Amino acid sequence: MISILACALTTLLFLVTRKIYLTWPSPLLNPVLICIAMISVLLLISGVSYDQYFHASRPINWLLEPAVVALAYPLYQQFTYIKPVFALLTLCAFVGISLSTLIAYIICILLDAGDVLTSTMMALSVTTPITLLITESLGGLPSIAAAMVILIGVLGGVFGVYCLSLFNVTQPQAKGIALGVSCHAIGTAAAMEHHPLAGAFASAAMILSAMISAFWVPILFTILNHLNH
Amino acid sequence: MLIALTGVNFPAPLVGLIVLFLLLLFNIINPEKLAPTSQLLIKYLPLFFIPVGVGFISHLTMIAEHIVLISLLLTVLPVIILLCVGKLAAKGKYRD
Repeated sequence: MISILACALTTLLFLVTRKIYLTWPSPLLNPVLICIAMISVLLLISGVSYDQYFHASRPINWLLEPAVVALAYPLYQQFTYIKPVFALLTLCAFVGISLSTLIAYIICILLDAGDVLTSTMMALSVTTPITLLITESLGGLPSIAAAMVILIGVLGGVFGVYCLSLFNVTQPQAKGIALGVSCHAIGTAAAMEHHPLAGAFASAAMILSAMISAFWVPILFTILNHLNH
Repeated sequence: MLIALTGVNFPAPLVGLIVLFLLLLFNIINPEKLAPTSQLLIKYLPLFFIPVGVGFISHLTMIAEHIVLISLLLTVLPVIILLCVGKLAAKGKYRD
């Protein structure tokens, strides 16, 4: 009974916020961001513990894994599009991911973040479902990583295109790749709004980053840990 | 199962993703048959990670303790990556 209530409430809230987002497509109105914020406030006010909520909403969580597998389909669809610029996209994604992990690691060490928080910050330059999987396998806190990734996406969605123009990056394709690698799905949405070519390159870069991150981040993290100790 | 066999610590859904992609690429699976299911799943993908995302409320003390670190990562990290990847990607030759 509680489970049905939790699932129904979460789903309903998502459908409503997505409807709002589709009417006013602004990164600040990102449905996931608003849903997480609203449910968190609701739990804190009502005194229901997170464990109770998570337990009750598990059926929603179960669908995450098959949905990640289903990402193979858009990757396949994009593949003909990616092929001619495959080498460049791979290089960009690889450099972006490596820098993200490396800089996050250095900042964590300098600020004495501790092992758990450091592991949490290793996969911030990748789309949320993949971040969850990588962070969990590294022994970090997936929920904090997810919140970070979504917030980075929102910031990138709001300021990303402007920021790139400021850096004199003018081609829509290059803007798209940068947004896709650094700001994932929300950045991709912003790129699509900026220019259709930017959108196509952003989504290709995002999907490729997801694949590379899954392999590379755990390896790089292990290397960094060895160097540090 | 593949994970259990090899003993490598790699997320199972990602193995599924790669295997399914290869099956599609080599025409072993008909993409048209896969389209309705996968499109539906992807349409609602953001919903599926909301329950995990809410989990940050269990770590509020930790977040408060490391708020400088978190704000630094939230701002500095995306700007550096945007700049570097943007500059690198700008070196590419694109057909319009």
